[in-house]
Amino acid sequence: MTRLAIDAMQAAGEIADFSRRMAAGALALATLEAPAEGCSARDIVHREDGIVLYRYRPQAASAGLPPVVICYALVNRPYMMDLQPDRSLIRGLLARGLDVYLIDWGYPGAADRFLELDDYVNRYLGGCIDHVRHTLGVPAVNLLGVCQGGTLALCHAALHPEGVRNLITMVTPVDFHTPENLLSKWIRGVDVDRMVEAFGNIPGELLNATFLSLMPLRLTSQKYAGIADIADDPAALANFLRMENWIFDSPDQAGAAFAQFIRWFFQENRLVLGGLMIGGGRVDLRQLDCPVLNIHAAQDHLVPPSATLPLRGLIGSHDYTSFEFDGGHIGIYVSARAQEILPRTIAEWLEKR
Amino acid sequence: MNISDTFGDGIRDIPFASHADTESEAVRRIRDFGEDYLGITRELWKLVESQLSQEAGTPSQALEKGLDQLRNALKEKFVRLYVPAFGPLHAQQAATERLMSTTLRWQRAAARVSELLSAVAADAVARLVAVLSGPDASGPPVTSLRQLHDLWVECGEQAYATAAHSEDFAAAQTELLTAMVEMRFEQRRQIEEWARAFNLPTRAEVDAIHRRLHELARLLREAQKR
Repeated sequence: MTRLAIDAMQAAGEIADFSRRMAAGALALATLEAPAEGCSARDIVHREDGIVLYRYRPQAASAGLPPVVICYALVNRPYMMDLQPDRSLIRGLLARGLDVYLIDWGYPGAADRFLELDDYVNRYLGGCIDHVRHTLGVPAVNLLGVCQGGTLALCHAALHPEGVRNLITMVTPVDFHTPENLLSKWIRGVDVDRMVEAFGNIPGELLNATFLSLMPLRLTSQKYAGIADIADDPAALANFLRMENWIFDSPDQAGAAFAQFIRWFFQENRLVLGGLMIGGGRVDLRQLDCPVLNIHAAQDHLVPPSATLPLRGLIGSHDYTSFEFDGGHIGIYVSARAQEILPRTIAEWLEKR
Repeated sequence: MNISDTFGDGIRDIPFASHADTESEAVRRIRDFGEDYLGITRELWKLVESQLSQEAGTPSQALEKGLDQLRNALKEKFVRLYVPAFGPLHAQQAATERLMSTTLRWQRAAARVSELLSAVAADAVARLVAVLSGPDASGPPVTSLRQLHDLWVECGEQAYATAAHSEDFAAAQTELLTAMVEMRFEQRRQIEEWARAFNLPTRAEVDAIHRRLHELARLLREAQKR
């Protein structure tokens, strides 16, 4: 007994139809404009080297809360936070009257080869937070760290707790040695210093290839076959193109910082096991005593819940909230449900603190 | 055919080839390699000739088998490529050998990953067959190629996830990355040699400047803080 019940003539028709739709999709894609990077009005308020801090223009009456500074990952571009009008966490926060800032790490060039985690965690992130504190005259900000940016935010908040009023981490890896962590398994035996010696900055393309190899069929064959399904839908094609543009817009990684991140986090799991020193300061999560909201995605293949949930047992804060979003690592930014659920969850949590 | 048949004993007259009766190890290796290489080339030509004499459309199993044998022979022989560097160009010779050796290492590592991926592909098909018609097959009938493709993707991802978490796969991935790094390192070294020959700035030199600038900027920031 077999479930296979494909009629030969029907299959031939399906192939012809698929080819027609793929060709139509390709033609329609060729007529689209290159996607913009972000969609909400904003101003540059601070720069240091290649780092830019944006402040978003308000879209609603102020909620009267301290500003939110978003610290995104180094490995992708931060406009994912404001991808398009109906897929924008930033718009959702602005609509609730929050004052939103976003750090753009830029594209490290050859001259940034020797930037270390100290530069990112203390100097750049610290510089952005200090700028907001001084210009607005507030003692501390609400820091929102996303993915790897959440790990950097955790380090910063542990080293400089005075500047962080509340900490929100989204899909943030904390324990890098959980059994599901494929990236950690693959990178554990690599001599990362030698890798940086050979490459200088680590090419974004190399990271992209690595991320694709986590789910190679879903992220290539199946995704692109899906163009046939949206060939007649210009809005869906525009969304597809925007996502593709973002996924493959991967900055090179500053060599020294990359080596430190891989060695200290992926290989030695120091955030959990201890011994993490950044810029001469010991990163001890027990020093982190501000309220923490830890948001994770239930079906996250990059940062599985088991990698982020141990945070609760590591921090000094007694005000810890965990929130599970029913979706994956990308869906948490761009799904329709996320647009409704996440800004509300974050704003309501902040209002109580 | 022995290479000496072509060149006679003249090869022993090369200055670094030691004495007439006791050729140096280096020369022997070069000669062996040359003989091996000529032998493989000759076998390849024989194979092509035998194929040409066959009728068009004849199954090419023999050709495939022959090519496999030659590929294996080449791999085996290239492993023996290394000869000690000597003479005025010894540094360049050693660098070239290192580049070839790292390239071969990368090829072997890539072949190992391909081998593991082939096993994943086979496992994916086995899983697909089981889902479609195995004893535990259940679910609605699959009536379109698209459904079949999606099912194959699902089976493929399951097979891949199983393999990707294994120690074998992690070791193969690590070796592939390490081999690529070493190859890249040697490629860069060669390019830098060329750049130096034309008095062009090299990556290493620019890196050294960037490192100094980075350190100076740090010192300046610290001084400004005090």
